Amino acid sequence: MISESKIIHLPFNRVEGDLEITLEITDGQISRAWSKGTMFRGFERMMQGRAALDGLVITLRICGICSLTHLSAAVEALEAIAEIKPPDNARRLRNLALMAETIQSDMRQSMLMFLVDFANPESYRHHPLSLEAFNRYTPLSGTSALSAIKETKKLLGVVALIGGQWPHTSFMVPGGVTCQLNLTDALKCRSILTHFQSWFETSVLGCSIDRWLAIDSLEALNVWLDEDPAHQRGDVGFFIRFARLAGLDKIGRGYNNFISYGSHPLPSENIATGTAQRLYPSGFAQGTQIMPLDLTQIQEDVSYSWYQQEQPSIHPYQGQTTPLFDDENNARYSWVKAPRYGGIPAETGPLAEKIIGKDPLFTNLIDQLGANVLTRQLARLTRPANYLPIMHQWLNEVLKNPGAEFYRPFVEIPDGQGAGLVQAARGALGHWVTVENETIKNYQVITPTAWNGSPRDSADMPGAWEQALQGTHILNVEHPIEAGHVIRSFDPCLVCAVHTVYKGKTVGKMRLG
Amino acid sequence: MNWTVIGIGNRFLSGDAAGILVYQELQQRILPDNVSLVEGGLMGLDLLPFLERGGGVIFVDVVSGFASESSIIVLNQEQILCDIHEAYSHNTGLSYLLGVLPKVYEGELPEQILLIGIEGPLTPQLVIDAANRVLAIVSEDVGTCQRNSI
Repeated sequence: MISESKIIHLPFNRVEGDLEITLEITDGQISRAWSKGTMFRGFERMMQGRAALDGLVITLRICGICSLTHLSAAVEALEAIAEIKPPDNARRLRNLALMAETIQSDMRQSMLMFLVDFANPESYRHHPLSLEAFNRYTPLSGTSALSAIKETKKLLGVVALIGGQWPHTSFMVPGGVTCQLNLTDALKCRSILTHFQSWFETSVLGCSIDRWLAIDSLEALNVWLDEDPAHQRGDVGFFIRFARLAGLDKIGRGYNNFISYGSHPLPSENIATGTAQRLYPSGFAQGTQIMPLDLTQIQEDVSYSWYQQEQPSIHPYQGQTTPLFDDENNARYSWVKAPRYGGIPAETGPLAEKIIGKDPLFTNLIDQLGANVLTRQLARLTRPANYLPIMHQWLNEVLKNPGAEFYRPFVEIPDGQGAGLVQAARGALGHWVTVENETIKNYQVITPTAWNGSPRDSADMPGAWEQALQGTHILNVEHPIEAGHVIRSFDPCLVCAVHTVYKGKTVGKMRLG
Repeated sequence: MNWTVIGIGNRFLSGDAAGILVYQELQQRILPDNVSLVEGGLMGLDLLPFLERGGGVIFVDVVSGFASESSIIVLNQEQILCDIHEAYSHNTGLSYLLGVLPKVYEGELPEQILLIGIEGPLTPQLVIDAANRVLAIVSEDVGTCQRNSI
């Protein structure tokens, strides 16, 4: 039947409810939290029995925001199995595209999803900076929100020039990339990066990247904030001023445990320096005590997840994705598994990347204050300052070697096991792949949001943001914006709804993106 | 007028797949040579470049609460935007995209924007009807027919 009508009642579009947070409030503060993944996806099961290379097309569809990181993890897993090393220019092009994707994600999350809560009159009408926040971050009209949309749209041109499209390009292949960047496109990339950096320095940082990177402590951060009105006007300075007045440096601590797989494998010949052939090192940290990452210590626990496997907690190489649709164990509450490192929950993301990379400012912030909402979000908002200079360097190296090798042919992916471990925009992302008889026998993916948003485990230890929520004071249980701040500071990758429970009743709801 | 037809949705969620199914149906048809077909998926803001090249744009997407079950409704831009209040999220919808468009566009705005809204539950006939509806709109000012998809 076809009809035409003038009946108008939004909303329409996307199906929601991927993630629900239930909060128990006692005496005005969160006493317990449960993070419930409400959707079974099962990409791991789709991969079983397929050709080894199929992951290069399918697994990046896991996410439309960070598809390149899934592609990167899939490629690195296959290269680990085949013991292939891509040539330098392939490394540079992969890293450039990945960094562009990460920066657009960081900026959109910050301006459109985190800072938009500062413009919420219901929660912040009495905040002394509320009017300025409203002008900057109101959806569809805020100055910073609109400029972030414009600038990130242009930045993604870098990915399109290198990879042919965005999202869901498959330009990374075992052995390299599918094509070299020609001179014209390389110069376009340089123009885009130069323009973006100018916007980032002027509008977001309020200073040069060099000045920002010179800040090495909480004290130095305060000096920077007061030394120039431009520093206070930038989104970073405004965020710090608003967040401190709102008490965001005092909520969302969590376990203070961090995990990073490291990021951006280095070309053999390049200016950028790193650790263990990566720009950012891998590691596990408790506070700022950093330990080398032992990959055998990574396990997934399903004690509170709707899955069955041979043991409650196993390594992803032995991992299974067998859903339990009907189970007598009523304690299970999530379709997300619970990744643990040596049995310990940990958070991941840009803050973990900076702690394990021994960034002096964030190391000092953790030593002095521990993890909190302000520090976690500040790490994300300022990450482009770390990436943009390196991107210019690698692009220049590509321009100096326009005819250099970009792909090393290989015959086939042999039988074996390999892991692709990368640092996605939201943190540690891993693909564990087993190939047998030229087909995929097992494929396991652990996403950053699984680390951050996991349910409890066999030791009844809450997941990272379940823990970070505990103790948070809630001013208005019908609109628990403080809980929203805590969860958003982890940059959840699933559409999320927060439910506040009080005396057995749901009294408040809040939708997160 | 040149038309861009954009199917929106998630092929892995049956309740949100209608726009993609219509896209697939149109891929099998002979389209006028003034029509570009786009799989919009869940691209959200990343669809902006398709809205900066003038002409007409037809979105095909699931709607809810607009009409009776298993029916099709055609909305113009004004109707889509009359109740906009959506904030950005990872699954940002059409109203946010169109709301932000006039403030961030850098090319040429579309002369006309329409939404072919599909009210569930979805049926195979509904997919065919929606594809026919798209073709009826774009064929009004077209003579030559030629398959043309991107």
